[in-house]
Amino acid sequence: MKTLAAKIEYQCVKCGKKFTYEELSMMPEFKCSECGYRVLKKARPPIVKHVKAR
Amino acid sequence: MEIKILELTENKAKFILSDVTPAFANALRRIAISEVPSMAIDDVFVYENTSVLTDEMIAHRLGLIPLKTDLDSYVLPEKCSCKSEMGCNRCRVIGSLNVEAEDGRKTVYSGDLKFEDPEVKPVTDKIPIVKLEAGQRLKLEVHAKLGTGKQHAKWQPVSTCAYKYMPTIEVNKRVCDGCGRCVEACPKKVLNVEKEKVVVVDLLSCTLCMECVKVCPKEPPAIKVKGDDKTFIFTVESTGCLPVKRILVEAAKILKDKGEELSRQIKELG
Repeated sequence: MKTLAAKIEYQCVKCGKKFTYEELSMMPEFKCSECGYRVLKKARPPIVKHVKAR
Repeated sequence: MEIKILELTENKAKFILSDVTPAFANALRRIAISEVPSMAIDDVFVYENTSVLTDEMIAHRLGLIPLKTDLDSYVLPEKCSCKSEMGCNRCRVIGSLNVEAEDGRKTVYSGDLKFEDPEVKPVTDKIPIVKLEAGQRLKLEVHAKLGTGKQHAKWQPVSTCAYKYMPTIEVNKRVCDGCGRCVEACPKKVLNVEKEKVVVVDLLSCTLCMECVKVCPKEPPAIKVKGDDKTFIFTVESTGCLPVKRILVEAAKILKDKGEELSRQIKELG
């Protein structure tokens, strides 16, 4: 199993379009460019998380 | 020391151990619970989890799944010659879990866990791990290792390991008149009335509750109940990770090793 290599990104809650932090800071208004929804969430980082089963 | 087997199946054993001290019987019980090694998942690497449970909750549930253990092919990680963090093929088994609810709801079961060693698998496939709604996905890698109950309860190989004293019940036939009050009072149906006297019909079920002695109208009571503290009725039930006979043999081995180690250290003191 290989780890995924992508940058930390944010995601529109409605349509699922992904943005990086750079793209977001460049936009004039805080909204999704595709559907215009103003709520974004942080997409799960592509890091493999190690959890102890205890 | 004598062992008389009352019941022995793959996962359950009931036997009478006689002519030993309570300390010995207790040591055997304690070692079977906390020092016989068994296999369980200890490390979880989460790639994707869109389910309703958090990564840690799922990892906790995975750790508690009993896995079929092969004590001869694997060693405890602390004792492995590789001395590495991630372990080697002798001290850990790699497994994976990859389930997606493609159309409709789906439940992830222990049967979905697949290990590199086909001998290592959950004791039963039917343990639900998490429920997924359509579109949710769970993808992770697990490392299973040997461990002891002392480190974490998930590594306890037994679900029951207990003993009680062998009951001795004496009915004074001259005094007893067969009134039957003790027969009624007994919660385990140990006694019965035969030919106007009370007799014992099921000695091994007695729990030494003394109700029969309390209700006997005679003074002193016509029935005497005592526990023999040199004879023990053991009941041991395995979780399925190891056959129960193996658990007891390993417990005896560990007890013997402890005795030898103590003897060696005392000799060193001079």
